[in-house]
Amino acid sequence: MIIFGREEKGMRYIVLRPNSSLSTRQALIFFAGISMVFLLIACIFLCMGLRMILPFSGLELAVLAYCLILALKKGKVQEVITISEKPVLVQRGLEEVEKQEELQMGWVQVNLEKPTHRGYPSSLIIRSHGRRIEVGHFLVESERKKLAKQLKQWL
Amino acid sequence: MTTVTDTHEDHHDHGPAKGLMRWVTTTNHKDIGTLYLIFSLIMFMVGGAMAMIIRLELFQPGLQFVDPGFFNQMTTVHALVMIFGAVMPAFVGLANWMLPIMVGGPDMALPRMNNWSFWILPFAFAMLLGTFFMDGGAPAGGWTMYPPLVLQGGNGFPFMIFAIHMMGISSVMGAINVIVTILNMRAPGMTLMKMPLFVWTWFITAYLLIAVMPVLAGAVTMLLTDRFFDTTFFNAAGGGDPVLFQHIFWFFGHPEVYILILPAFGIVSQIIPTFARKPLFGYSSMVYATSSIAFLSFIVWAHHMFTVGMPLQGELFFMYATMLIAVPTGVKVFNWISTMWKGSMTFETPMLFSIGFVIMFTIGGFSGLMLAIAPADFQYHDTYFVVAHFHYVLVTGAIYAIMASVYYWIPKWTGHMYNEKMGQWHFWISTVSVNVLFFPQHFLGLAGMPRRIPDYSVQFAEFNMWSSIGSFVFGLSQVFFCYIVYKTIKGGEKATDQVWEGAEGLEWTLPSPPPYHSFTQAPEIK
Repeated sequence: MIIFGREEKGMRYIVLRPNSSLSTRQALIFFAGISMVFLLIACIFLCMGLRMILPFSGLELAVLAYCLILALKKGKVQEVITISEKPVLVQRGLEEVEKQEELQMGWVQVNLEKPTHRGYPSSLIIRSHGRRIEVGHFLVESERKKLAKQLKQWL
Repeated sequence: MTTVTDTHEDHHDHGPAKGLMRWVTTTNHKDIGTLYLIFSLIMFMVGGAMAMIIRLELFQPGLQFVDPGFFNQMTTVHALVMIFGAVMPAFVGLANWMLPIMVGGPDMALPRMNNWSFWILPFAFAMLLGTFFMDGGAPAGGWTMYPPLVLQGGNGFPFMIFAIHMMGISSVMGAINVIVTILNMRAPGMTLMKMPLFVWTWFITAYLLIAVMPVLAGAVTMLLTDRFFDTTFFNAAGGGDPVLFQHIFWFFGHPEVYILILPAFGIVSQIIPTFARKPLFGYSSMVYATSSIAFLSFIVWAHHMFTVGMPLQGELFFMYATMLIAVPTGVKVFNWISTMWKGSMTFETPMLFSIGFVIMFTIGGFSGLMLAIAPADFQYHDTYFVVAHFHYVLVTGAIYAIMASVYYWIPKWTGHMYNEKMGQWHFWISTVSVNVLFFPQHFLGLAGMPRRIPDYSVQFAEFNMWSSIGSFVFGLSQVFFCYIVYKTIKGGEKATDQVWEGAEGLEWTLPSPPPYHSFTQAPEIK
């Protein structure tokens, strides 16, 4: 998903997010529902003296929780490209900025590199002074092309 | 200086890496789907070979070819191989191939875990099949592993338990991956009630799988500790209860039956509308019926054990609860028939297998209803009637749906059309022979022939001979199926992107075969 924005004093920004059909709330509701059923089953068996089922249920729910968290994290990665008069700022992170890079406006090149193998995704590279930053690797091809076109207009 | 460049670098048209390591390290859903499908075909032939030995021995009364101990090993391992090695991996393979494409996602949500969940399987089955070469041979107490009989087995017993654990881990990882993929990887606009039925049935199947697998894992672990660590969970002498094992086994086992059949419902719900050239009748009712079947599967387990001695109230509850399952199942059969009603039907091989599924699965369902009647079950229990019933459900049900799906999607997978004439021959030979194989077993059971015996009274000779002849022809027709698949992979008429005139869904918007990475463009959801 791409959000194009414009702030004051000619500053523009682009927010890039991967597609994610699961929200944190939905994941929580799903996990709570599934855990209640599975733990109820395991606890009934525990009351009957069958002690070995609960640990397996617990282990399985832990793996499920980990996988859901992993998927949610993947879906919440965000890239923000801020274009002002001087530097081009590329920020990456989950909840907060984890990585930030600056490129000099006048020297920036935008390259949409075709993949080396057919069927693989292309790469959108912003580079300046020998530094290459790939942006929007999680976008689909059509979004990446749209982004490249917009960056061309703005840079 | 600002430029946008479409850099035309060296463009090699050779896709993914070559060689064996591609398959070992792959995280691509299509590669892993292919691995699962090939593995399940191999296991289908291995389990089928065991079935041939069983039917060869039963061709005539008396002991001809194998000793009774080996016969029991055959019946036990045949079931384990077919359930955990053939049918389940085939459905997981289909899920791997089709689910991401059907929901418009680029891959499965957890690709590395996907690789692990496949590569555990060959080791699990190597271990299970390796027990044939151990002291005391392979497990021979039946796939249900009832104590105390199973605890009296040879050195193969702990290896069987470990193999089952590994199969369970593989299944659970596959199921978690399916759930996370369906929840998180859907394309924008692909709401839950827009998902294809195959996706829905797999979602519910995955839920069932992760609900019951810990119960199986716990049950077999307790068997292990009873044998090696002096616990007495299932040993009456130490205060345990062997019947309790049956309860927990079937608490896993009955939902397992639906794990084996729900994805089949999904497949048939994809194929029938395509060849009837009509949308599926009653989409929402299909979703709700599938959910109802899944719910009911948790409260009917004791119909497998009416004869162990249960309070009358218990027998009545499980009898009526079991009969209730006929309602949502009936909704499904009604919807499939209504979809075909006044449709512009054509009868290509996938449609033939789907119609075969609807008719013969219904026969299996009806014999299931007969078995659900508690007083009648006392007569049928542990007879060949039960064998006939579950083979109608699992062979002409689950396996027919898998065959239908292979014919339906193989042009998409390979880019080649299969040979239609050969496919039709395969269907007709299989359908005639499978009925010669399993239908007489109803009569054998009603006449009182017990299951799991290598020898029998002469009064059962004729039907057994028919059944064995049917099995040999059915077995050969599956070798023919392998040839058809091989021939299609190697070449054939080029398939179009849509393949089938009436096909709808995102998978048909991709080229045949689809690119290594699907959906480089955002799919359009109608």
